[in-house]
Amino acid sequence: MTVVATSGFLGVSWILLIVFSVLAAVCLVSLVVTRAARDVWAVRSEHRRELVRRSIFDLVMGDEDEAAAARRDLESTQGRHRQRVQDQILTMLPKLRGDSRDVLVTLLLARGAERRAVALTRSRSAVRRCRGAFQLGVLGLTEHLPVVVRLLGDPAFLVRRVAVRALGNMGDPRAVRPLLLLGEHDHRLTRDLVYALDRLGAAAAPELRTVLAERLAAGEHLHLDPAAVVLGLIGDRDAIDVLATGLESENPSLAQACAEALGRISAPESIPPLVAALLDLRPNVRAAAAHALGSIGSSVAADSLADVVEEEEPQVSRQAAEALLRLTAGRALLEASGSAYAREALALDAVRGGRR
Amino acid sequence: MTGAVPLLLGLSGSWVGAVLTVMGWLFISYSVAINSSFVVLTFLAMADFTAYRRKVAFAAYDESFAEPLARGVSVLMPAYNEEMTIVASVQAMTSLRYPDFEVVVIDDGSKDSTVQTVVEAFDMVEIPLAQAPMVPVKGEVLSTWVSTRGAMNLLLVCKANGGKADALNVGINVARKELVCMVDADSLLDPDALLHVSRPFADDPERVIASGGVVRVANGSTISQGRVTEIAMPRRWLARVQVVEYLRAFLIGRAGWSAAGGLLIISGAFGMFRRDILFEVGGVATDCIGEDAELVVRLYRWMGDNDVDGRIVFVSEPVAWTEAPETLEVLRKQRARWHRGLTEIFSRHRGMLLRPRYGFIGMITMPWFLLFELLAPFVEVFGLAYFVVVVVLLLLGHTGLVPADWVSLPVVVILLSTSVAFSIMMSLVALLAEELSYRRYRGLRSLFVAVRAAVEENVGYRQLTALWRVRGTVDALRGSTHVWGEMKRRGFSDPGS
Amino acid sequence: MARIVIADDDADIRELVVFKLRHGGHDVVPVGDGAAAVEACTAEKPDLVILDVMMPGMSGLDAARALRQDSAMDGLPIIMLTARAQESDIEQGFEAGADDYIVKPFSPRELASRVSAVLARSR
Repeated sequence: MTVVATSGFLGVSWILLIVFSVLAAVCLVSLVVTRAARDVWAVRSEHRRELVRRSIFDLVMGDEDEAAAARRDLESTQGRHRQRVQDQILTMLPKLRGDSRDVLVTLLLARGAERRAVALTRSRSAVRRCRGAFQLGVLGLTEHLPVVVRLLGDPAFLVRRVAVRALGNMGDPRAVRPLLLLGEHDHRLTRDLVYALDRLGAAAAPELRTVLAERLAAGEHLHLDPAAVVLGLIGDRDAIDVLATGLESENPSLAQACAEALGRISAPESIPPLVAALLDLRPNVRAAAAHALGSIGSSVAADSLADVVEEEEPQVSRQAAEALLRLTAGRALLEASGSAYAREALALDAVRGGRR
Repeated sequence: MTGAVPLLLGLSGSWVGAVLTVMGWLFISYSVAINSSFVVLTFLAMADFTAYRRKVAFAAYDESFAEPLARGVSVLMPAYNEEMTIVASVQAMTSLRYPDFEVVVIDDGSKDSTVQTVVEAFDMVEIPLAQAPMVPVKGEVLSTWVSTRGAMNLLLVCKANGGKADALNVGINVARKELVCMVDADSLLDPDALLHVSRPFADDPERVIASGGVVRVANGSTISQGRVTEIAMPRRWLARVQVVEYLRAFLIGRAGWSAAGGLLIISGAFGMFRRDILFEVGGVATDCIGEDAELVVRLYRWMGDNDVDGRIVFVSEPVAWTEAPETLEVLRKQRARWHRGLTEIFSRHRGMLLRPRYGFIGMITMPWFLLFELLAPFVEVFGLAYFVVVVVLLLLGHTGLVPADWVSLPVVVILLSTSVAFSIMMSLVALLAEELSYRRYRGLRSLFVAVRAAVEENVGYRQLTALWRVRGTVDALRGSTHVWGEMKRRGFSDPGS
Repeated sequence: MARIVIADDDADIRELVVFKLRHGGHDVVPVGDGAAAVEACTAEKPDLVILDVMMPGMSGLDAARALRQDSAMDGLPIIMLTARAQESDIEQGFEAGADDYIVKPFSPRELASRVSAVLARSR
């Protein structure tokens, strides 16, 4: 038994040894080739980018002759280089506004960028679908909104994420509801949703308010944070009522987001619900409410904040003390308080000369 | 992975033969098991960073610097007798790129002029900072200071000596932001480290409770003002070998585990935690050496015990650098300490093993670590001893004192070479993966240095570290009642700790 | 024909501004962060400085404050580049000492006109 076993084993071992050695050699060769090639390629690629960048600038900001020459240069690119030029222009687009942007968009569209982008969204490869969505977003082609919205349901996470951002870049408020719907199923996209909705800006506010109100009324409180956060970023005063309702939500994350949003909007009408929120059972909500009252800056809330400072609850009392510093009646109350947080806030304020 | 696994030929009648055969098969099975699992992890890691490469193309995180969802971060830096380097380290920390953060230096009763140096260098004034009595602490807080310069986000807490973990707990109590991250005084962070490691909290704010990033070896690279500026492979063989080791362990082990949702136990990892959760679990353990790893395990335990739907996420972007020991003496202490910490963690949390309520961690990750991380050096050491015995028998066979066919030389050599070849191949795969993804190193020469290190690692280095790690476990099992005393004496006086 | 310092950590934006303003005949000094901006202002004594609000290390707001505190920089016009046009951010910018602001994504033409206007005002 052992003789057979060992010779079989020996054979297997030989095979393994050869396999590993070959693989190791392959890795080694790949490493050498990759490293050498990359360094060279990096230098050349940077040089090329610089040339293209020059052309783009000439086209967008140069005088007539320079612009015409640059246009000819950019339009005459072929093959792989053409793809790279298009990609470089596309990266530049989100940073520009106005005439400059329009010139570049026209250039790209004239060379069939729209058709290509739509075709990419139907590709089998997830990376290509991402490219397509990104391009449609950055080119601002709102007539293709449904195409990108469809990609919100894509099986690949990366595609969904890129689609969310693309809808933000595209600028069409019809995207708001599908975006919020996605947020309820896909928890990991909070940051991207906030980016997109924020990019949509004030135009998105009515729909955000509506959806938030609907959901709260239906008793569904999960994953609505992006809506609350963005209403605050936009500074939408009409949203105060719905945010005040959200402040009482059983979902602590949403209640906190609503408090923060009310703070950003900074309207005196928010004071009563925020003062009520100072008595919420959850410390994160109390802390956010205290901070918000500080942002609003009205001394009406001073007494309630002073009570919170006395509580000596770590994060909450600290926020309340800092908030009191921003109210005219606040300083006197802090000085009268025996709380460690009051002492801390006053001392920091003295050192910082009133800043922050 | 084990050393030589020689087999004996046809000795069914002899008890020596039987014993050696059985042991041989045991080593083989262990070897196959551990190597296959590494292969699985490698594939997972490959998947992880092809995904990463794609993400990078669309990451657009420049925009996220102005992130409204970026929660405030408190960077806790415990310090003990660091007067020479503290200013540069703090300077580097305060110039990290993040919209809302503070640096909290906790001086653990330094006997040198650390405190005076910091106070003077940063124009600090003493003010009464409130301390939340949330996490129990032992060393009393003596004074608290704030910097009056620049963004004024630098705090200093002076406390009575109590060890690094106790200093961290004081830091947790004093920290004023929602997220907390813990660094060593000799940690070097990438300027964008906080951005990368805080991103999971912004992506999934309702569930993520902790996140971590990858640590690399800084030796050989140029460090100026506490920043790694030019990355290069180190000259000394000991440092070289550690670079490759880190690359392999972190890239493959970590990326693989991250994809499988597993857990990070290598010391020195850079982690960020939610402060309120730290209050819940009682902060950092003061009676355990691997306190950061123990914290992560305890968080998983807390999630399982309280049925919390939480996540701990690892970001495969390298965010921090560490100076690896350049002398055998310091390396020995470090490895012994790490393995001791690992043993203590398993001893403390053995109730989590193979319990379904702890999910993937309890059922798969921890048993894997127990078998293939904790026990690996034991197997390696026994394999070494086995190999020595076999060679001796071989020589004796030649001299005729024992039957010559007890041991066959070709078999021994083949098996040994296979094992070594596998190990070298794994290192090369790790190097290739690094090349294709992060590309931090440049130039052909550094590449050859790395390849050379991959080979050198198997000739002596692995065997040495195996011995030291065994020693670490033995220390843990023996010295558990003396831990606190030893901690107090050692503190930070170990260079390279 | 003025000397202008531009501070932005985004290379594309920096190059854009440099190109546009050089085209307008100005002498432009680009830097990548707030600390470098303060240094450049002290060294070059420019006629105008453009600061991006969000930068690593010292932010544009901090740099603006630092410049305003330095008496040698009295009367130096400051324009802020900001990615958000919310009231509080604009407020903060003016509080820090800015004379004007431009919102990103921005239009190079608008930049040039604002620069001319601010320079004319300060003369």
